[in-house]
Formats: sequence, C-alpha cells, structure tokens
Amino acid sequence: MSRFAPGTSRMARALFTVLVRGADAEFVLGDLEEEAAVRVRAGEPVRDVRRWYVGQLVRSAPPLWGEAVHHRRSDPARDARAGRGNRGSSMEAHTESRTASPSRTTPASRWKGWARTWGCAASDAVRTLGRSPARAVAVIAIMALGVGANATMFGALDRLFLRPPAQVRSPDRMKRIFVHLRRQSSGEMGTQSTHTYPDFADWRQLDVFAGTAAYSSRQLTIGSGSGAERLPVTLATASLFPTLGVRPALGRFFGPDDDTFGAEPVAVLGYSYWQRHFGGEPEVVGRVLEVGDLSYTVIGVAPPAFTGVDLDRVDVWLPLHRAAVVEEGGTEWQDSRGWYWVDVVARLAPGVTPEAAGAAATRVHRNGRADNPNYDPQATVEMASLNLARTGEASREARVVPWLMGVALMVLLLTCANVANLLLARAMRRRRETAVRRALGASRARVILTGVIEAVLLSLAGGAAAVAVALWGGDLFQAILLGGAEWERGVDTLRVIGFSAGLAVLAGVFAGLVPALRASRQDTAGALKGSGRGTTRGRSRLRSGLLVIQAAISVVLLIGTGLFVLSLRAARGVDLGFDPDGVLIVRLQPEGGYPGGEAMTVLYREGRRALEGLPGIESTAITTTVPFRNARGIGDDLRVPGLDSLPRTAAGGAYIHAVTGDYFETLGLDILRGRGITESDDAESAPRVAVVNETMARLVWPDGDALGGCLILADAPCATVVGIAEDSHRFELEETESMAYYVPLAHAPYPWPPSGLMVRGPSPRTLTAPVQRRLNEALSGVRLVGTEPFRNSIDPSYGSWRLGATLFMAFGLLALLVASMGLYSMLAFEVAERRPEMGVRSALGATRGRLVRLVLSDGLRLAGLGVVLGIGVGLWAAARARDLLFGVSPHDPRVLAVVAAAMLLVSVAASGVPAWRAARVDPNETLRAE
Amino acid sequence: MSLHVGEFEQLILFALLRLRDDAYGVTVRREIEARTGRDVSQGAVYTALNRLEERGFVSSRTADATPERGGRRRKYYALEPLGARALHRAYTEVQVMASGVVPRLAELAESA
Repeated sequence: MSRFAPGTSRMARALFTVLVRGADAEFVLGDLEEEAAVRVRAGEPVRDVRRWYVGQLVRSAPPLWGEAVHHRRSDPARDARAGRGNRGSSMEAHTESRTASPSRTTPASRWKGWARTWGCAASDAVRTLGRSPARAVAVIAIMALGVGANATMFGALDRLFLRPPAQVRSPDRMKRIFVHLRRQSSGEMGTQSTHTYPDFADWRQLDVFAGTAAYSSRQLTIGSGSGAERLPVTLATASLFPTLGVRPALGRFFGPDDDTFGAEPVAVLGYSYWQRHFGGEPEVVGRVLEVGDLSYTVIGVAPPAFTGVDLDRVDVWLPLHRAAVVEEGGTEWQDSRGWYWVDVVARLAPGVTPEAAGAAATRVHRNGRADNPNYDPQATVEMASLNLARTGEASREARVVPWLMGVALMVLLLTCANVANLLLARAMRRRRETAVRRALGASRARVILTGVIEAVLLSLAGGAAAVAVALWGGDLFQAILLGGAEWERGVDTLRVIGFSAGLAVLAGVFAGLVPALRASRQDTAGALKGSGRGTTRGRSRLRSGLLVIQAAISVVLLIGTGLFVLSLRAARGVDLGFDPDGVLIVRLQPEGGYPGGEAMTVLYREGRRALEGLPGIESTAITTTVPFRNARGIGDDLRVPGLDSLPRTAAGGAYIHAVTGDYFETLGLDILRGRGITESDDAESAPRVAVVNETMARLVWPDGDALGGCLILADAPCATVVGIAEDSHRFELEETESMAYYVPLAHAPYPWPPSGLMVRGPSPRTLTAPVQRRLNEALSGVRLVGTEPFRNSIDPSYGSWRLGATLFMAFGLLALLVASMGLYSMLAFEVAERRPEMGVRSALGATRGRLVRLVLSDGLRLAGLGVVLGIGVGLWAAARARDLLFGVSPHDPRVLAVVAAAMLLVSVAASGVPAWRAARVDPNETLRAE
Repeated sequence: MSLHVGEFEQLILFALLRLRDDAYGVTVRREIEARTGRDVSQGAVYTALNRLEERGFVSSRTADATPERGGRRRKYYALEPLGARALHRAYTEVQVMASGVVPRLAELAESA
C-alpha cells in the first residue's frame, strides 16, 4: 500500500496499467514505488517525490507500449538476424521468408501461402494509394458518384416495387382485387381498382379467401380552429388489420363491434402522427379527436411504418362502416352498385392459387351484376400483387423509376470505365516498377490482386461515402425524386447498404481487373530494358474503347435530358383554357358536421360578400366544381329539346358547373361568343340561362347556332344558352375533349355544396393571410378556412417530367464532365508519352499546325465514334420510353443535333490543351534526350 | 549475429557490470542518473534491458515481492559473456577512434 499516490498519482497509475500490460508493468511500478520510498526516507519533500513519480509514469508508458506492439508484430528470430527492428518492406520480408523456409505443399502451408499473398497484396495496395492521396481522393469521389447514384435509385425502386408494405405478414399471399372490363360509357377496355360495397360483400363470402378487407383513403380535417389540419385518413373495415397480420403498437385496433353503423366512434392513430402530435405519450388512448365531421375516441396506435397496403402515409384509421355514415352522407352506399369508393384486398386461403381465387371471384362478381344489362358480362377479376402503386396502374412517376435505375447503372458503368482508364494509364507508367517486382519474385497473381484490391478499396470507400450521403440525405433525395407523395419515409438501411457494398465491390473488381491483367502481362525483359518510350501506335485499343463508351453514355444521358426538358416545356405550354396563375382557392368547413348543400351555399355566399373591398382582390366567384379537383354530371337529367339522346364523347357525359357571376373573369376562361354568367342571372327569380363550351356547342348544335338554344335540367324550364366559352381541361394535362356547360348557382339542379370560392388577384400568396383573417372574423361557425393557390393543384401533374428533366440533366452533365476529363487525361498522358515522336516529327519539318491537328483529330475521332454509338443507343431507348414523354417525338432532331454539337465542342476543348502542348514540343530538347 | 550496441545500451551494460548482483530496475536507473546526470525514465531502462535480453546480452531472474513495492516483485539482471563481449568491443572502438585526439576534442568543445 502506497502512501504516495493520492489524486493525480492514482490516475496516472491507472492510465499506465491500461497502456502497459503484463509483467513489465509490475516491475516498473514496483521500482517506482520503491525508489519513491527511498527518496522520501532521504528527506525529499513528498510533493516533489509525487511529481517525480507521475513524471516517471508518463515517460515510461510510451517506450513500454511501443515495445509491446513491436513484439506482437515482429518475429524475434528475424530481428536477431537483422540486428534491428522490422523496417523492411513487406515485399522484402515476403521474398525473404519464401526463400528462408523450405517449400512444403501441405494444404496448411498452401493456405498460409495464399493468405500471405493476399495480405501482402492488400498492404501493397494500401501503400500505393497512400503515396498519391490526391489521385485516390479523385477516384473515390468518382466512385462515390457512381455508387451513390445507384444506391439512391435503388432505395426508391425498392420502396416502390420490391419491398412489400411494412408490417404485413406473408405479403405474397395478400392480393389486390382489380376488375377488368369494357366500360359502359366509352366502350373501351379498362381496369377498375375501386369498387362498390356490394361488390366487396360478394367477395367477402368466398372461401378461397382467408380474409378480405375494404378501405378508402382521403384527406379529412382533424381538429378545429387554428390547429386544424387536413391530413391523410383511411376508412377501413375492421378485418383489415387481422387480414394483414398486424399488431398495434399501443392499445388495440377496432374490432367488428366497433365497425357497425351505430357503434361508438373510435379511431386508431398512425404511428408518426402519434409521435408528432402527442409526443408518443401512452396516455393518448382515451383522448377524443375530431376527424372529418365526427368525434372519435382514440383506442390505439398502429405500428411504425405501417401504411396499410398503399405507400401513402396514414395519420388516422377509422372504422369504415361507422365513419362512412358521415363521410359518405348516409348508408346508401351499402346497396348501390353505382357508388364506387372502396379498394379491396384479400388474403388467399392456404393452398389456393391466385388463378383459382380470381376465377371464383369473377363468377360471383358476374352473378352480382347480372341484373344490369349494360354491365360487361365478360368482366374479369384479377388477383394482383400488392406491389403496385396506389391506383393499381403504376403512376407515371413510378414508371419513371426503373428507367432512372437504368440511368444510374449507366453512370456507374461510366465511372468504372473512367477509373479503369485512369488505373490503366498509371499501370502503363509504372511498367518498370512492376517489371522489377516481378523479376524479384512477386507472383503474377499478386500483381493482379494488388490492382484489383486497390480498385475495390477505392470503390468501397466511394460507396461508403455515397451511402452515408444517401442515407443522411435519403429523405431529401426521395422527396426530390418522388416529390408530392406523402410517404411513410424510411429507407431500409440494411438493404441499401448491402446493395451498395455489393455494387461497389463489383465495380471495383471490374474497374481494377482489366488494368491489372494488362499490367501483369507485361513483357518483363522488354520493360526493364526499354527507355520508357511508348510503342509506335502508343495507345491500346482497350483505352480507346473505354473512352468511346464513356462518350456514348454521356450522349445517351444528354439525349434523355433534352427529351424530358422538351416534354416539360410542352406540358407547361398546354393551354388549359383557364389561367390558374393568380387564383387562390378558398374552401370553408363549418363546425358541427355537414349541414347540407343549401346551408353550405349560404355560407360561401356570405364569405364572398365578406371579401368585398379587400385590397388586392380583382374578382371572386363561387363554383360547385374546381378544375383538377372534382367534376359533376347529371346524366339523363340533362335534355335538349329535339334530341332523343345527347351525343357522347370518350370522356363521358356533359359536365355541369354551377357558378356565380364573375366566374369566367376570375378563372380566366374566355367567352368566345355571347356573354358569361352575371350577378343578375344568379337569382332564384331570374330567367334561366346557361353557357356551353365549344365542344358542346359543336356536338349538340352542329347545324345551327348554340346561342339561343335550350337546355332542360331536371325538368326545370328551358335555360337559354347565352354564351359559348372556350374549352378547358377538367382533370389532367392530357385529355380528350369533353362537353361542359355552366349555369347560375341559384339554378343548380341539385343542392350541391360549393366546391370552392375562387379569388383572383395579382399575387395570390400574399392574399392568403388577409383572406383568412377576414373570413374568420366575418363568418361564425366556421371551423377551417383553407386556402391554396390554384397552381398547386396543377403543378403535381408536371412532376414526372420535372423529375426526369432534373435527374437526366444532373446525370448527363456529370457524365459529360467525367467523359471529358477522361479524354483530357488520356490525351495529355499520350502527348507526354509521345514527346520523342513529336520531337522527331517536328525536326523533320512538321509544322505546329500539323501537330495540333494530329492530337485534335485523335480526340475528335474518339468523341465522334462515341456520339454515333450514343445516338444509336439513345434513339432505341427513347422509342421504348415513348409514353413517358409529352408532346415531343423520341426522334426529335433538335435534341440529337444539340447533344452531338455539345459533345464535339467539349471534346475539342478537352483535346485542345494537350494539342497545344504538343505543338510546343521543342525538337532539339527531345532529340537530345534520345 | 551483430554485436552492435547503442550508446544508451552501453551505459546500461556498464551499470550492470558495476552493480554485480544488485542490478535491478531501481538501482540501474539511479546508477546511470548518479554517474552521468541523465534523468532517464524507468520504462526506457526496461525497454532497453528487454531488448538486450532478447539478444542474449543479459539474463534476468525475478525475486520475491516486498510490501515496500506494493506487493510487486523485483526483476534482477546480470551481464552475460556475449553482452560483455559486445560492450568491450564497443568501448574499444571508441577508444581507438579517440586515441590521441581527446585534448583537441576538449578544446573544440570549449570553444562552442
């Protein structure tokens, strides 16, 4: 027990014992304590002794620790021979130990031999990389881009197509139900992914299913007042959860008793909603939440990442039967075969094939529809896999993703080719060194291995960097990639990392193998003897080939860019008919449940009046249909005197809009002839008028004039047509023509609630706050005033082209950059190699111009080959991707011309510098060197 | 097999020679410190002694623990014939090089 080690001494000693293990520690500590005791006995002050003690500890630790490490690494016998520490290169050691030990080909020693080869190759690789860190960093960066792009794409692809929905048990036995049939209205084949409740009831009783469920997703208002939000909510039958095999994270799911018309309303929260709004507190069970038009008691929380069978996030789950009473306005839907609103999923019973289930479902479906003569008797039910995007036919965005994956793979190929070229060039430069190593006994396998390991290390490092960025920015990337979709975000980290690592290794092997093979095949004697002067031809066909491939890939990507950019421009240029910019759409939601169409109309009119005089507003109008949001028709209740039936268009029946005055001005829809609907038309007692669109005017009154014509709505008196409006888009950018007509709101044939109050002003965004404030003040009993620029409803439609254009542009420019760097470095290297040749030529009278042209023509030839190859591949690919484009031909010559020109220009620039250098070669200098 | 010994190792070997049976960590360190004025760390001493032992120049034996050392043992070292030979050679080399020029060396050192 020592009297000299309080405080710091104790700490120092602890540290010491950590660093220095084993017998040495014991002896040293003992010595120090002994000497300390001696010093104290000799009269030295204790503090000084303690200081000396700690100092000794600190100074003794490093040499002893180094000693221990050294001991672990070295072979003492060899040290004895060498007389000093092990400082020789591993190659020497390798060679020495090979000659020292007699060769025995027992399996054990052969294994050891292989292990040693790998180990030496690895350390060689590391050392080589360490020698030129700048180059290593550059290659890592290039690989990071290649692997990273693929990792990100794979994440998105995985989420959309490969990975089954989270938390679902045996997802391959779960199927979606689709009906393929010939549509009544247009006569064309179509696929129905949404069904009626009676259809669902038919399927529910089949034994081929172990369970079935119906659900309907929508946006509903949660909460009220200033905290109210519209969030994704799904109505689902209680059977959904057990059929999917899911367990709640908290509380319970709703059961069959909760899922009846008269049950107490209960709700289950989505996991992320629970975290966001209730901070994950367990006491959320029992809280009451206003969702849509009813108050529900929270009974549980769904597990993390659970979104049912679709991709979109779900914040609240409601029992279908109970909630639909309110949200679908009654219980009519239960018996109506015209009310399409539920998606249906089913779990196959054990041993049942999808085909058998499909046949049974088809039979029972046709039976159920038998009493409708217009319904397609050949309608077929399909049991489809879960992994399709929401609508059952993959959305345009989802279809772009596999192409993008192809693009990413091309970029990877490009980076591999580039890296291979770099490594090959370097291997050529180090011919002599390699030859020396081979002469000294390094096996061919080892040389190849070293090269491959080097490349794999680089690509793994690149891949790791890329994955880190992809994961950290993963949500950001996915948001950009598939922006707009409200996903339960979350990348399956393990799969992405695994995929990236595998890809990185593959890329590294590919990029490193070729140069390594070439390098190892060197003619040893020749390389040792040679002065380093290149062969007369100078460049291998392999390197040229790699460069042509890089150029071709760049060209293909740039063609993609061009096509998508043009698509985007065409899409934006589509004349929608109306002018969405400058319009704000206001939606009102009253407190206390849905009061009926008439009360809603009154509320909206009040709101419109309240906005009068608000600065910044040019005009306002109320409408029962908002383009890109909803549409209405009244079918047979619309008649035109003199016509037995109305003409049909492929887009369906005539669409009706009930509007107030100023509608056409607010929407920016032109009146071609006659006039629009005015305030004075919009009164109960006013004479009935209507405005029709061009298509309707043309189809219904082909011979005469639509103006003055008569429309009879629901047996009301004749509405005189007073104006013809231009056609406009209803829902989508790509639409066929349809008939539409406009009547005053007061004369609407049914008491529909308004769909929106439209406000036009020069700057809708700045109107948001004042409008909300004014409406909240002026209107009582309003729960939510929602405002949204009209543009926002339309912009998502451009999404896929914007996505394509952005990504292709990013990748295309990247590819171009990498390819041109490759071209530059190769030509520069060659010019350096061929200096003697250039010098000789120059001495023999070749002018500067000729030398420059020599190099330039080289570069241009390669680029030209690349362009030709790239255009060929690009045209083929574009033709296959035809339906992803909009308003532009896959063979658009403008794109091809621009891309080819760009490529050639860049090649000229890349070849320019080496060419200029070539021209500056001084013949005297090079000849002297010979 | 090389008989080369570094300068520090020479001091240690001389210390062992002087201390005879009494050469262990503490005594070797104090001997060097007392005679040459060099303040070396205990760890460095042991490191050097371990290396010398590996090469067969010295040998070691452990002795019983004492309470004064906190219950830790002592490790004694002794000079081996091989080590003596190495030390002798090293010393002779220096002597040969120094023969006759020491006065001049002293003069040069003083002028610095």
